Amino acid sequence: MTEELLTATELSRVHHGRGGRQRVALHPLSVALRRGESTAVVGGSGSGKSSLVRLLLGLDTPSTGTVTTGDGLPVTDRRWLRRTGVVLQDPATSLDPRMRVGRIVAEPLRGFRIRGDHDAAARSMLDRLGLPGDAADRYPHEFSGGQRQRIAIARALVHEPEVLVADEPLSALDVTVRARILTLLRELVAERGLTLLLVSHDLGIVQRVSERVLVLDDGRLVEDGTAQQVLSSPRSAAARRLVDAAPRLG
Amino acid sequence: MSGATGLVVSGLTIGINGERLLDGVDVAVAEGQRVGLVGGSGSGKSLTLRAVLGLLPSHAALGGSIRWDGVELLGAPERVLARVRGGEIGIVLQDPATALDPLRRVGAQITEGARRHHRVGRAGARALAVRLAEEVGLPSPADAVDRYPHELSGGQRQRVQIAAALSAEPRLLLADEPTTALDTVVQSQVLELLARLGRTRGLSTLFVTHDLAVLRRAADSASVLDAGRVVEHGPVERLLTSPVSATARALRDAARLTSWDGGRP
Repeated sequence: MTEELLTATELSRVHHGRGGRQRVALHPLSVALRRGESTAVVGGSGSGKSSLVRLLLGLDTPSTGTVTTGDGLPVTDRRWLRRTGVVLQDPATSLDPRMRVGRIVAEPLRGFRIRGDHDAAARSMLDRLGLPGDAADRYPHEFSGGQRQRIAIARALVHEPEVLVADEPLSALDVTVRARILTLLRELVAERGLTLLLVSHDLGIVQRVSERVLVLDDGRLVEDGTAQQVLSSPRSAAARRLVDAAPRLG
Repeated sequence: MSGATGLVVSGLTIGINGERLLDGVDVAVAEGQRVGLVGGSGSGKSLTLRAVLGLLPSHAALGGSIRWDGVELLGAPERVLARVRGGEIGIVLQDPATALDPLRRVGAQITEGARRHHRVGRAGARALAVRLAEEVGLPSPADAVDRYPHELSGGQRQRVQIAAALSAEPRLLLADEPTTALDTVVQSQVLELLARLGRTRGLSTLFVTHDLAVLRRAADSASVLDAGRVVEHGPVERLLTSPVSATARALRDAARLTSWDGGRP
């Protein structure tokens, strides 16, 4: 039996603008994420992918519905946060410019009061992401955009979370770096049983790390199936558009 | 096909603060050709593009030659560069959000090149803006030109940038990763637009990217850059099927690992 890690019930988000205008970012949807099942949320710009993820992480308050963890904890509970790692879009802006990279990466270890050699753990994770040996001793501004993105990924993984939520983590990376990080994520999913919730519009990435695909279109969940089924015989128009548009090598 | 017309970059070297960033780069884009520059971060591809338009820091040490229709641009007076830059050669950058002025209407930004280079009047400018907005596929072009950049989506803003580059009727378009910041559906539409403009306007392009799957749709031949040197040059299909240099092989292998393969199980 698969254990449900996170359950969203009738979750929706409506933004209220001036003069009573409303914009629906997410129409009511229910979805459960299961332990060890790597799931992708796909869709074009403005389809509601990031809105859904923000709600699932408790970073935004739903207009209707609830999100609960398998243990019945609220998603803002420390015990749940300890088990999750998060990489949001544009992580470069989330690195404190006054802190050395080693300290930034070790932040979750301090925050969750995890025992052990924090500095060594941070250095080892930076190394796994292919950053130079002295990266831990330098400051964020000394790194390129792609390297800063990798620093943010290192911080999200350093406390060995069970769940990694990543919003377009690879899109700003150079292809060779992208291949390397993709390989690392595949290893973590296959060997450590990491549950990956990936937000992406890039089907090349999705097909390689995700078993299940949720397709969003205009704030609605229009398809939910195995990656194999959704990518090879998409039923929704939105999934077909993504499949047709994906750049191919041959 | 000689160096008489079009762009011929030969032996271009660029040093900044004593560091040699470009080392003898040769690239040629003849009339109507679609050429790619491909390489990883820091390989010098964007730098090459910027050098063509003289958009480098003033303390950059330059060597070699950049000829446009046989005229040397390297060290050319500002008056010559001003005619070529944004006139005969247009540019489209990666991030449309920062390339556009947030405080000016889209129409004014689209026609800036035409007003500067061809002395188009106000009424003419508006008609031109609407026509260009239509050509690049902006929805409701007559309304779109009165909007501000923040009212448009990322893909629409990139179309605005392309329209603005077209307004002075350039013969060569320099494109610096113009689809990297876009989602794949919009990326595909913008690549299709650039291909169409190549056919309908006879526009040549020099397209910078790190993604071979994108390159395949944007260029017919390409030079592979590594650490400021051209390590390989050839038809794009050949670079994909039988790359010779280690750099091209690494790019191809990385692209194979990450690109959509059509859903093969």
